Amino acid sequence: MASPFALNEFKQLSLNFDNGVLSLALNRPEKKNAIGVDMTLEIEKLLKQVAVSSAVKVLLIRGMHGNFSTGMDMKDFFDHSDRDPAELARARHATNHWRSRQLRLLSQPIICAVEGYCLGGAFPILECATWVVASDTATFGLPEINFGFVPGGPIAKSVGLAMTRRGASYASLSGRNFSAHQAKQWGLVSHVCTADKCLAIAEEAAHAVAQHLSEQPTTDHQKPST
Amino acid sequence: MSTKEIKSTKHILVDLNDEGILTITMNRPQKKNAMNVEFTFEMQNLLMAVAASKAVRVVILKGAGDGFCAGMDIKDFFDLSEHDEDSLSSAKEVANHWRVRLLRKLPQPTIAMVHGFCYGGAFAIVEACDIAFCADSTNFALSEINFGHFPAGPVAKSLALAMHSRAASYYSLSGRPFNGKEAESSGFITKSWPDGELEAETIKLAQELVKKDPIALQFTKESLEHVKSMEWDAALSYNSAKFAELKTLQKGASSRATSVANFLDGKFKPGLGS
Repeated sequence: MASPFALNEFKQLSLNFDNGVLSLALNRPEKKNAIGVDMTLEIEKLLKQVAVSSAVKVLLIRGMHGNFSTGMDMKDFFDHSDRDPAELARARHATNHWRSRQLRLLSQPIICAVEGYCLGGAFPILECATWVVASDTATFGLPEINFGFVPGGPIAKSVGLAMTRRGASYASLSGRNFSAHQAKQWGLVSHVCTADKCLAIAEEAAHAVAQHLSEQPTTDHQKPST
Repeated sequence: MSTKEIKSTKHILVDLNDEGILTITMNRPQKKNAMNVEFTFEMQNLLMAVAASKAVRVVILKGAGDGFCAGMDIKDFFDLSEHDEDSLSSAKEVANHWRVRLLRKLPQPTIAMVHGFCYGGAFAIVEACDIAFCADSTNFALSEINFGHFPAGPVAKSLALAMHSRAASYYSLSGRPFNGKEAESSGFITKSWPDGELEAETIKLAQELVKKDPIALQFTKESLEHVKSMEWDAALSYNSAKFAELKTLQKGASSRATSVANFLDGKFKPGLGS
């Protein structure tokens, strides 16, 4: 099936469309897929298109080159940014918008495959997902406190929604990283597997769900979530 | 006696070390550290002093002797031969107040270090702490039901907040005891350690926490507590404002002090131009 999008319009998202599954891979390996100004604007733009696409049945989110994402690129967004203030304002707005509204309002199920690092600003992506599979070598953490910050924006809200109370307090106050098994115990992850199987399991699940949804009348899964 | 001093009292031992780690020890070992009327007022005064203290950076809460705390010393709360009616009714309020509000709202991170036993009303103490470590051999029990009673006061709410609902129902309805590992998997305890490692792991974590920015720690606690009940847009707005406040406070009080001084000196006349 042809892609419903101009996939090559996106420089920091590696996209692949196959049988109803849109695979969105964060692709900025030199920064372990940290979400900077350019990437956040691309995500906002893509999700706007996904929301109204009947061809996309399932959204699969992952990171390229062994890491999910190290969260927000603080340098690009905050104190030391040499960006134009108007562009920064637009990017900050986009970041809040796609994490707190666009992702959670998608009618399509979201499946995440987590390998390597998954930190701070990436947590809301997992919180919005229907199903999260993580490699047993993945590393999770809320490092904000280690540099005198707080889990800002939508992070605290997402953490409160997805994680147990003990997990949320411990991770955010101690700033210590934690394992995939711990992430599962604390509610952030649905399934833990060996590193070599992570992407394959997520893809298989995404295709199975897409196949199932393709057999349903379109309206069934196009209703806005309430 | 000043009510604003951090010092040991009859039933509570305190130790504030040079790093800013305050260890509070519930110290009534002959009564399994059960909370009586006198203890309750002592704890209220202590926590008010801790909340106002800049010297305290992290709080560890533990029990003296064989265990953490066996819950309320119910008999003492009804003993009119020892207390007058007014102080009993005040003590009942305060017993809730310090667990539900004072301890929970401390600006410093709090770690419950639980060993030996933890029963009934003590669950509300542990739950109110940000982080709860225990020893694997700890004996936990919600045995109220075995005496024809139920988890009263703040306890049921504490269970609902920190435990998975299946575990909360099971342990409070059956009254069966459970150990540290089971308490961890029920969600109630952050981590259960082998008995010999509990103290070292607690201190290690406390030493890490005192190295972090105290304002950021306080705001992290507040944010987790408050955004849960907010709509998304309100949470984003709250966090932006909190972030700006954090940056201002971290720069030091000087900028605000200057503004206030300028106002007091008459350099600014609000509403009348400067």
